[in-house]
Amino acid sequence: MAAGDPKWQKDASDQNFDYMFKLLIIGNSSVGKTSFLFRYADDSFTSAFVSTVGIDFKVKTVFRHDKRVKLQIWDTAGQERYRTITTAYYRGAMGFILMYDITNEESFNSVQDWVTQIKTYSWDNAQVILVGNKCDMEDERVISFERGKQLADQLGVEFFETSAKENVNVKNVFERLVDIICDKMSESLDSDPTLVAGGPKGQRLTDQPQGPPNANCNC
Amino acid sequence: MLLKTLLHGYPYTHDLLKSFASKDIPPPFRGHVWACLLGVVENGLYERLDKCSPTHTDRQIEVDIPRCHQYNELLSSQEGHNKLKRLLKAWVTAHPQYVYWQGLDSLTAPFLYLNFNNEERAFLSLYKFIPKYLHLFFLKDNSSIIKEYLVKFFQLIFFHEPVLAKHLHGINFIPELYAIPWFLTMFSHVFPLHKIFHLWDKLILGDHSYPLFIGIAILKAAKEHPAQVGLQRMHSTVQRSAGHCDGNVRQRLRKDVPIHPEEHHLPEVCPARRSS
Repeated sequence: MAAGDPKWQKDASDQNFDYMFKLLIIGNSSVGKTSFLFRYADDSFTSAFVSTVGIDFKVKTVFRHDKRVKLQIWDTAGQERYRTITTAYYRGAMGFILMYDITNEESFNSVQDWVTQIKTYSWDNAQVILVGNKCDMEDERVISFERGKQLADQLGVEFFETSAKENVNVKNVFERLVDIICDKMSESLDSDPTLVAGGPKGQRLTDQPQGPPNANCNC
Repeated sequence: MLLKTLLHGYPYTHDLLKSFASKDIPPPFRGHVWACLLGVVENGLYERLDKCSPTHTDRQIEVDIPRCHQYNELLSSQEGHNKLKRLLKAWVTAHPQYVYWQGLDSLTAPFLYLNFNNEERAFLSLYKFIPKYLHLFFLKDNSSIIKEYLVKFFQLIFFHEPVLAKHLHGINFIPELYAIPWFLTMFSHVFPLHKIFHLWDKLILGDHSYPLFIGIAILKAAKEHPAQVGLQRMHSTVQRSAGHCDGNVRQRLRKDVPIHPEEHHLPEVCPARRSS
């Protein structure tokens, strides 16, 4: 963070947290990524949703284990062409919500491909949760819960079926992801004490880039 | 009456139409006036284009159309969906060098709405609009084009609003975070139709650099909002500014941006203009 002009200094609400996690929601076009984020951040749902061009983000602060965790959640365009733009934001992300639509086989078949994207562009210890969205549309379901679970097991990630519309499991997914990241963090702190050297508790994380990494900017 | 005469005399009356439109464009004639200002001459091209054969972009077009300006009754109607699909497919067919990017649907919507019963004019308006304002944006790999455009934009912010620019830079609020949908869709993805009309009334009179100044006007309008410190705050302020306070933005445009901005505002640092 550049210190900058004093009058531009960050206000209290921006600074008031112990950790900041950058999370990304990815998956094919029209699986419900934006709706999922709106449900979580604003507790709202509209069927008059619009497609996402490029990227968008929302911030939400939650309490987990007596810690204020600020989540910076990035919503990405699903169209494959946008990947050159969106994958630039994978770096520095600590968690991914990889979403498919249970009424759309193609979106499920693309999951493996998205995992490859994560492996290629993100940090090694980024945590992933697989999410089958639109579980309210039981009549149109083509991907059974078991298939989703099986794939998640194969990939070694956790799995939820959700509905942004009916508000099923949305909060759980985020809470679980935060927990997994916290666990992973304390694990790596235990195994590598140099990481805690210097700096007050948790500050290491807040020093992560708030926007996309500067490395993406060739200007 | 005068406008009707001018439209009747187009293309001969092109320049007169332009000066007429710089004062006001009456809504019932907007579609027609825009087409003339863009240099559209109906030539039967649209009819000849293949709008039906299946292509690999069909699925993407199909998931985007039901999400495109659906608060509007014409665009949310079945007929509206069919027409939009034909227009998009025709545009893709007519441009083998370009591809469909999400956002092209939003860009097409104003032309379709204004020329609902004249698909050819809607198509040709889009056909002329894109090379003028979105040169090369729809290349399969457009990353360098977008990057160049956003760098230009950031340079201009630095020139016109150095304090704001320094702050934005400091909090890492780079144009990639908010301006891609602005420019890739010429704001048609961020504004509702009735606001796009007024904005594009001005845009279509300006040249290809005009959109950059609209962007600056939005940031300036956001700057006037008191609570704008920090990344998230800035983001929501800019979104709000783009989404709701367009009156303010228009005012800023009127105040700050002449119709031919390059004559008055473009600083030396502005990179070479694209030839179009």
